[in-house]
Amino acid sequence: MLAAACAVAVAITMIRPENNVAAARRPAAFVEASSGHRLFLNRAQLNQAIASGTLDRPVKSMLAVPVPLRFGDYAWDDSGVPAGSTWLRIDLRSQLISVFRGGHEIGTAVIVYGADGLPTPTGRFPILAKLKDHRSSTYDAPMPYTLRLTGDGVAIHASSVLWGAATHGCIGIPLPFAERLFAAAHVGDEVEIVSGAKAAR
Amino acid sequence: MSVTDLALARERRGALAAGGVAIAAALSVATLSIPGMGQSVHVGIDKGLHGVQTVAAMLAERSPGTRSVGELALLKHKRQLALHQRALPKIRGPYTPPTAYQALATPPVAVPLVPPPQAPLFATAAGGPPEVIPPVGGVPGGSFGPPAFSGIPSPGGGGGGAFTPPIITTVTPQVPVTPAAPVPEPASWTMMLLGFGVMGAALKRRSDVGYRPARD
Repeated sequence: MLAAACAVAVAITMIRPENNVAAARRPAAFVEASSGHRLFLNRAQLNQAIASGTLDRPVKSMLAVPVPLRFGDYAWDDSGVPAGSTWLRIDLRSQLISVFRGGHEIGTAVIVYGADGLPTPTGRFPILAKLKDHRSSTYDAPMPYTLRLTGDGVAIHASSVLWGAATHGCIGIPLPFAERLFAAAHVGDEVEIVSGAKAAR
Repeated sequence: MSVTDLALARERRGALAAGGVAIAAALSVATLSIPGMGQSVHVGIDKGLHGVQTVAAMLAERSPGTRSVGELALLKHKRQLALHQRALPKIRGPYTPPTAYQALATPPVAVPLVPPPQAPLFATAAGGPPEVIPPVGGVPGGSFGPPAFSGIPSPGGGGGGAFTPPIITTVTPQVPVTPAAPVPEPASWTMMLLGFGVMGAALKRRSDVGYRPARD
């Protein structure tokens, strides 16, 4: 059984160059390469990740996204992932968001974050509220699928994710990804915003 | 070593090489023919590759890269976005017209006037219908709403002819209805053009005097 799964993994690995080319040519969209393909971390990898500050809790598997995502791209695969606690890891430096459920990564996407003058805060935030059809009163702009993080308005919400774009401090994610994330996340779930790997603790 | 010996040695070496190739080929065929063998080899390599890849490397592999310092000011569409961003916080209130137009827009104020000291015009002891003085100085077009008191005669009082209702008239505020003209008046135009003409004529006369051809 394991051998068969690995064989599938091998097959995907072997056609990786073709995937690269296809990924480079296709329009910004869902990344299919990751479907049914995840990388299970061994003990050494997990220890290394925790020691280096990349992760702060046990993670069992990561989505295999061997191609660089472009702005507006996302990957989502929660097939076979059991129910569990959800948490989000957002790395401003690599401009990525990762959604974990029960220790397995189920989604990842490119984000846009706060401009230099309006930086996104880092740290751990619980999701304070979920607002599906939110409209910002401050900016008079629609912000669908808002997950509010702080009391002063920082949130994760759907946005046009473009190269060279930035926000006023929020985390902007692609709309279809935001829809999935909105369904997967709950009020109280933890969101960790980091900027690069933290120092080893 | 004679020439024939050399040739023999070459032949032997060639045979050895050929044998080596054949053995290698046979081995590879045997490896491939064993079911699962090739897979296990690949799986071993695969697991080894992913085993040494750190989580940070996995994330770096999919990352679009770090946002550089000046990146936000590089794009052409960025200028539009910046405009948009600057425009966003300006939330404007409801539009308030300028004062002159505002005065025009306000409805006329109904001011109850004190009845004149004289007796009413048609006050009869017989108790005729009390008359209402029509609005004095009302709006000619009547476009500012109905007068505050309609002139419909009441259907005959019960004989108490001494009573006269207070006369109510509509008073429109006297507003200067001539806003500043966006273009100059015709007189101004004429004056300006005339001035230009005079200036041109003066210059022409002067240049006629000054620049006479040399051979004259």
